[in-house]
Amino acid sequence: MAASRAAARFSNSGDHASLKPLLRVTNLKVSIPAGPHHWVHPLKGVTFQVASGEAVGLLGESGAGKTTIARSLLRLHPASTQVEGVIEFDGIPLLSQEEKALRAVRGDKVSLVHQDSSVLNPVRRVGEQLVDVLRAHRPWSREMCRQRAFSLLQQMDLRPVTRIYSAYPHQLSGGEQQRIVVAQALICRPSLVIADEPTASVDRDTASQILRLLKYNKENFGNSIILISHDVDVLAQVADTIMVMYAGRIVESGPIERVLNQPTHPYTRTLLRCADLTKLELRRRNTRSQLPTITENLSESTATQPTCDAKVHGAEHTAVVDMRGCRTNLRAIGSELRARESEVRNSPWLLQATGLSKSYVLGPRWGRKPLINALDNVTIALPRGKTVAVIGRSGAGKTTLATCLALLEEPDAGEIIFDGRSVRSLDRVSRRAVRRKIQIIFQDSVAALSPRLTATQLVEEPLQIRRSMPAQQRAQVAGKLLEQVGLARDTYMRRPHELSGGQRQRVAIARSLALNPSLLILDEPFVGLDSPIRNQIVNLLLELQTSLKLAYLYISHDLDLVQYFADITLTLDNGRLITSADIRACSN
Amino acid sequence: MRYLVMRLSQAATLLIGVSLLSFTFLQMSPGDYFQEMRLNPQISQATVEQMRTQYGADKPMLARYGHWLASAARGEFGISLAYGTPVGPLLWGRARNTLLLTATATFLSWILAVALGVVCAIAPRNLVDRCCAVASSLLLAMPELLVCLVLLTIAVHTGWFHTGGMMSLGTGEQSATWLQQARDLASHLVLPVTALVLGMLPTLLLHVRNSLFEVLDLPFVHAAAGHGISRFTILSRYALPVAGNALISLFGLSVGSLLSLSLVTEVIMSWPGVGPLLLEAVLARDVYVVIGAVTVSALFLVCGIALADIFLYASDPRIRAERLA
Repeated sequence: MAASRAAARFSNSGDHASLKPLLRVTNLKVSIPAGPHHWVHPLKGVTFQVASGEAVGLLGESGAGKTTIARSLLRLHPASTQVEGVIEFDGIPLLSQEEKALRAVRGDKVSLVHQDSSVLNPVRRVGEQLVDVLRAHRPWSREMCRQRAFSLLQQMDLRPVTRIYSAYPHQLSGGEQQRIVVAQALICRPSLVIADEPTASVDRDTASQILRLLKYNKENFGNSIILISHDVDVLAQVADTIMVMYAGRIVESGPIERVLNQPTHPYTRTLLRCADLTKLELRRRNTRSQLPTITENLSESTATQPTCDAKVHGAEHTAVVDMRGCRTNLRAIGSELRARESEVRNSPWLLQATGLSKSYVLGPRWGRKPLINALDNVTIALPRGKTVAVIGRSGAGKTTLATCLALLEEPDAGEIIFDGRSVRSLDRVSRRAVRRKIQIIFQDSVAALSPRLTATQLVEEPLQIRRSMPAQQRAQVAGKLLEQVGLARDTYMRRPHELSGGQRQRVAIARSLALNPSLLILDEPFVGLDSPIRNQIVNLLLELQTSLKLAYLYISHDLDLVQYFADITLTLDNGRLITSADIRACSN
Repeated sequence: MRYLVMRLSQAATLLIGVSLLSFTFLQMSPGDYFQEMRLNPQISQATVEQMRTQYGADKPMLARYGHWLASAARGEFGISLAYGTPVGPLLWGRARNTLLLTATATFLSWILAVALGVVCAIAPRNLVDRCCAVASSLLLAMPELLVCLVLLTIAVHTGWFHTGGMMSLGTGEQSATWLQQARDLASHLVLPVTALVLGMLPTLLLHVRNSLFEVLDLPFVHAAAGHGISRFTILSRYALPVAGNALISLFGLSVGSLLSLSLVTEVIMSWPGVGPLLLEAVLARDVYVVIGAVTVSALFLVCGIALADIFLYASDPRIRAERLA
């Protein structure tokens, strides 16, 4: 039965595709109430079509309205949201349908692959969750649904199938969870799959596996795909055509080769340039110029007119430094590096740690005790006003190193000397004073910032705890700090969930600067940020480093950025420092 | 298994602690049963002294505690000074009546709370939700005593309900059928149960509503809706089991407080439960009855929490994994 259905789809996706699109969206506008008499417009009139069997990529930064499109196609937004325009799916106008008719479309005809696995019910076996979707749309027996789920799991290479079927989400790895999320969307063999950043939360191998799977399904069952991503590489693997979104509008669309190779709209050009780090890594060594970013608010008119040139910061240089004479460049950089290195060596150390070891005991106090050596005799020194990067796989002990150096955790052995004083010998009061000088910025700023405080309150809080100044002065200092990290005034009173990822990370930086630290520990601060925003934050951190003479300990697994960002790079593996190489060795 | 042993030993320690503390506190409070007796001119000094020895009140505290422990192990929990019989049997009869009352009330409260909570949570800010919020605040602000008195006034004026006791005269006799007895009991139950439900419902309702409301906004619930799963399935299979976690602990607590929940209501409505017995015993300084009642209600609490733990263990696979690790 399934086979015949697939065959039917195939015949559809032939010549008729161009005549009769599967999905036609006309002038779609979405408005969300954001306070009294105030509306936000994430979509400002979007028009596009998706043919049967076509894979459309949707490219854009976060906040461009990509997810809003996905949600409004299924009408999944809250009741207060206003949606105008026409969404016609297979001849049915979705926006005017009753809730019950919509439910029949959701998951069956049009399905959504979500960004991460928080969409799995934590207390229900994943197999049952798959069956739930199937049973909502097919009058099949439980046993039949089970078999369909089994065969799908098998096809997705989730083995052993029986274990996966009866596992709870927390018993699966992140990659397996994400594949279950994909499976939920595919189990009814829908004719349109909307994948909203399906690979954002998984490692590279799983990501390519998921993309292969989407492609396989498209080829075998003839469904259409709308793939949403901020990552050009992801789109390039699946999409036939691509649409570039900016500020609630589609600014450019066309076949993917054409758009990626000859972008016509200035925004597309800039976005592609921001995403490409490979040409930039060498430049800082010479010119110390900035990474390209996109200035906020290309005004609305420029966003729609492809002739107007988008403003790009610091990007004029990019064209100059291409790969021409890369070798000689490297050599020149090498000599400059040596000079920098000696400069680094001469400057007094801000923090020195010798023979740090830390191990964790697993299991209950009375149970088995497998030891994990998170840190094994690590010796590290951080110079003032410079950046040291520590790279390594997940589980290599990077975060343990960070928490130990931040004095948040007591190492089992070893000594930490901060600013010439041994930390171990300090009493509690002066230890606390040292701790103020070391601040951490975490990877996940959503988790690190209290959801109940506004941006200003978040920055004020450390000052408040220290009780060093009256309330009025605190507010002034907080305002100044927020200004320093480049936040606009209207964001000061917002709470973390009302800020974008980049803005949140800026608040986190301002908060850590409040106590006037001399060392910032950056624990994967750029993960999950779009490339233009990431570049902005990188630029900001580098500026702050020069103006405030900050030392950074940058923890990452992203090699590209490390080369640009760090003065010294160290590699951590299984709790040990392997090499203490400079950038030159690393790039070799 | 290890976990179970640990929990049991914790429970035992807690019970011993509670009984020891109540022993000590009663010892520290001035006067005892025999001093009260001395006030009665009809009883001679010698008799009082003799009784003192007979009941072992002249021995040091630790010895008496040991003695009490032994008798507790036999299920007697010492001997009541006022009634002259072992505390255990005295308490059991009363506890049965109390449990009948509180179990009914707790059961009803939970059913009402879950039903109303679901209605409020799926349509927040609608009429039902607002009414519930107002009523809850009012009831929370009102002391139990006042609620009981209002109910009693209504009952007296209308004559619809029995205003006290547990059985009407005559229905306890052999001639009454089983059905008549049950009906009589039920009509006596109405008033105290209502009072208790009104006392418990607001807290439970707020908890159910809020935890469900929070869960209904979690990504996996929205995602389930996005897959076209029906609202009923979403509620029963997705939202409620997750919201249940917070509620199960609360349920354990409400089971644990079954014995101590209704003390005030029982006294006011003259329900022959533990409440009036405990009140008399405290006033008369009938030490062992007080200690017995306190220890038994502590036992209930321990059992209630253990029950909640078992439920949690069964309902949430994440907790299972954590505990087994």
